[in-house]
Amino acid sequence: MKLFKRAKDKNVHILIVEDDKTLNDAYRMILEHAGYLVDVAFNGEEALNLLDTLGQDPDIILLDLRMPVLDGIGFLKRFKPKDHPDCDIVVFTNYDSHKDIEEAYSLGVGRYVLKARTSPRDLLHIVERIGSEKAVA
Amino acid sequence: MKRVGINYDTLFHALPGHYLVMTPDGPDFTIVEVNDSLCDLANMNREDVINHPMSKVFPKSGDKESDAGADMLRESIQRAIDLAKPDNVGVIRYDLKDDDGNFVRKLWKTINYPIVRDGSVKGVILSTDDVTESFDSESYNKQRLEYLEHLIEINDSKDEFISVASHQLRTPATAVKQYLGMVLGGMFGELDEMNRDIIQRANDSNERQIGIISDLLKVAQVDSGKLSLVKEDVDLGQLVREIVQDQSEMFKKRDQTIELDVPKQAINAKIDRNIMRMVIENIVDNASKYTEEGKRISITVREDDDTAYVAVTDEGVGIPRQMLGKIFEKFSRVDNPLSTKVGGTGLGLYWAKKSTELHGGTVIYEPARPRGSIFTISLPKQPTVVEAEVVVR
Repeated sequence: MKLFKRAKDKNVHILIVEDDKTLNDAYRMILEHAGYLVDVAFNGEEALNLLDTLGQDPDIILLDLRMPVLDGIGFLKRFKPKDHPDCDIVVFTNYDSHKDIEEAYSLGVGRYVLKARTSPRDLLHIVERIGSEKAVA
Repeated sequence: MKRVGINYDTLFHALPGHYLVMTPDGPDFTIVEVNDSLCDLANMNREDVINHPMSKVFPKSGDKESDAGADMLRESIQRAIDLAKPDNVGVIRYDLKDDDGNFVRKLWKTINYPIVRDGSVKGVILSTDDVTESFDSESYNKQRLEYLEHLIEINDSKDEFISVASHQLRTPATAVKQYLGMVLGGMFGELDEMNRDIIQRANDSNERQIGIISDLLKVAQVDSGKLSLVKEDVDLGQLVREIVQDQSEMFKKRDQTIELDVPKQAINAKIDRNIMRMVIENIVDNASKYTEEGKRISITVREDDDTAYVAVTDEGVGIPRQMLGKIFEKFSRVDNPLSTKVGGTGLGLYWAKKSTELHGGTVIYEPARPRGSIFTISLPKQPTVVEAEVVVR
């Protein structure tokens, strides 16, 4: 069995926005192990503050929807993905209602993933694919 | 004062009202005394009542309203005991058997009196009257309506509870999936065969847990009427081909042959593609699971003027006669040599049928000859469902 592949381009920067600490830790460990640069936030407000401090958009944001303080939809409304074309947002949630999906897409989200159906391997495939799409572009 | 030459036993039986005395041992409440007039009224023999639990003497009839009445009665008895105060049940429906053993609709006006001695409740006297004929139907209907509203409220909060609880359960289950996935993926070093086998089992179990949570959520969604359909014209033949293609590994693993009888021309129905895909997948998956290795499963797609049909026929274990009426109920599981191996929640067929019904269609079962099952999904080619429930993209 192969180890997780190391990311070819280690400069891909990913922001994880997830309120569950255990899950947030898991995603960080998986992505860091694969060689990505990772920042974490535990709700939408924290994510916005962090983005302000960084002064530069990450390449990918993994965004949970249901979070305290400021939820994923609230974050999207303030972050306005359409103003950040170089930043890919993957909505990473366990809520799969039409309403959530429609709203996230209408706010400019590119991908929608059901967390419970996503293994570490699937997660790496998703970010790897986005990374390679960016490299081609 | 001159004493009347009559004992309490005679007096009790001669009382004009209908009384029954129970011990306070809920939820069954053993009956220790009953007067003759109640025995007459309920068409029962004294010896069949005394020293028997309430639930046995007054069984549920299977009628929802009557059974709800039985529950309300039991709750009232318990309240009388807990609060040591008389509890008025009001008028409830509780059906009784007639001479032929058939349940007959009956309305009762009942009050439960606790017997309090030395500060504790020693028993409960139930006093009741048959008001089936005399009860004013207007106020009865009003009470029924209120009770119905109450039931709807409880049902809604049950749906909400299942939905919230399932969502809450999903997060830790998702986290387990990540950590097991990391270990299985060799992130912390290669695993030897035994460790891999153990972690793989934990991972399979986690997959099953996530599957159960998803099933619960799907059922809560259809039950609460919150399943919104995004309808479009879908060629059912093409959809079936895709499903079979996706599930080909499963058939191969079980060495099963899959036969498709799908016409070349499109058979379109206006359906929610994702939902109906899951419905068909569910039925095809069942057909494969409940059919032994090496056998055949065939899927036929047909249409007539206004209906499209997808029929899935297997040569499997089939469904025992006594389970026929129950397979589309929640949590129904058929006992057969394969079902222990297969696992599952017993929610799949319930969800499949409900979701098909939201499309204005249905799912029916019939036994296959000489052995096996045929599940037929029928769907109107043009929708007939209430459009208010449909989200249009």
